[in-house]
Amino acid sequence: MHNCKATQELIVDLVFNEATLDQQASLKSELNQCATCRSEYSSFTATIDTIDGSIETAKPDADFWPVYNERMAARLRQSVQNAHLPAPAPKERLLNKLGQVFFQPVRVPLVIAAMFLLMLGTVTVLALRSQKAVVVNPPVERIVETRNVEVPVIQERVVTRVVYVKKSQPRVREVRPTFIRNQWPNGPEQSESSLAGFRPIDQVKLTVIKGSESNER
Amino acid sequence: MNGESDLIRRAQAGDVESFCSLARTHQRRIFSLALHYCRHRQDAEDLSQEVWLKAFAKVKDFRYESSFYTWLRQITINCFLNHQRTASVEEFGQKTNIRLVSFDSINVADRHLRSPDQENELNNNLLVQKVFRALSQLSARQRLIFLLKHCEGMTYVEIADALGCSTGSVKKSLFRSVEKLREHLDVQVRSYDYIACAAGEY
Repeated sequence: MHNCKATQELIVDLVFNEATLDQQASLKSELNQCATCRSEYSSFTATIDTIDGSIETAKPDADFWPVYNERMAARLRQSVQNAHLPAPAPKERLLNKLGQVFFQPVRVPLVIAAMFLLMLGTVTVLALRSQKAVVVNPPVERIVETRNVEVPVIQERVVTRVVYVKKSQPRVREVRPTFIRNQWPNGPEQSESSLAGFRPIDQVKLTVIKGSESNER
Repeated sequence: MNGESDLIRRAQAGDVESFCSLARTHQRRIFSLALHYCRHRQDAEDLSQEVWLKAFAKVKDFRYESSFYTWLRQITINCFLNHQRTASVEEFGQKTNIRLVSFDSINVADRHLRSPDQENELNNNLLVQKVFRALSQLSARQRLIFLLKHCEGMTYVEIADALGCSTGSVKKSLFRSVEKLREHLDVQVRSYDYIACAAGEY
């Protein structure tokens, strides 16, 4: 049973002489049975013939070779001279190797490269944002101005009230503004009559006013 | 071959002239391979010169276990693979050189490609450019496999050994390469009514 696909896959063996004699015979009979396969074989051989023609045509002329050989000999002599040169110092060799490591281009898959760039961009944006957020105010120079202000200080005041009272006369009591009307049994106009039996004391009571009521003793 | 052995021995002793004589024997094949691999004459020249430099540096290690050309071809393959890696790194690093060549100059750019007839020369140059363009559609590895098979006549096994891959992948790569080349070359197909078989074949 003829199978076009299988036959066409074997055509390349036939074209490039990789098929054994038996295979060749079998293939050729298959090709003779099928016009499509035969056409495929024809196009393959035509392609190879075209390339053959190109190879023949592309061969350089005779005047090309002397120049080529001259160049080759010069390069070979140069390589011999270089071989006789002293080898570079280990330090120099190490530096050269390091230079190769750092400056040799490396292939990176596109996805990884894209991810790396994305990460780099994100980090840069975040770094810029954080820089904006933390705005460091410049140190303000504080000017200290000294001036004297007079503050009124409440000084202690001692009020001394001396009451001279004649022993023979009844003591006239000073009217105190702090008296409350109700404390006078008969009202203020009758105060004199109320002091009739009043006897002055030897001791004088002093009240010290310190400026506020809370300090009053 | 005795002459070649003598030259190899002298080259191993560091004689540049002997190595150059040795190189002259194989330089056309190596250059042609490099030219179709690089698709540019100057690049091919540089690459093939690099092959000679490497070969000269390593000729002391040649042990006569294979023919000199087989040994040289392996060095060539390694150089091509290294060139492929460098090229891809340069491409990655945006170091691609772009050559702008006008269509008219293509025809006369290569002064080494001369034929007696001007029309023939024009056709040949166009053919070469067309094939180079088609080859550039292949990956570097596919191109190398195709050239090793087509120009060098290496077997699947030899190519697989040289590149460190399976014969199946070599075959697959070759099939795809020819398909791509056919697509881009747009060749005129001769229609066969019958494929001739050898005597004894069906």
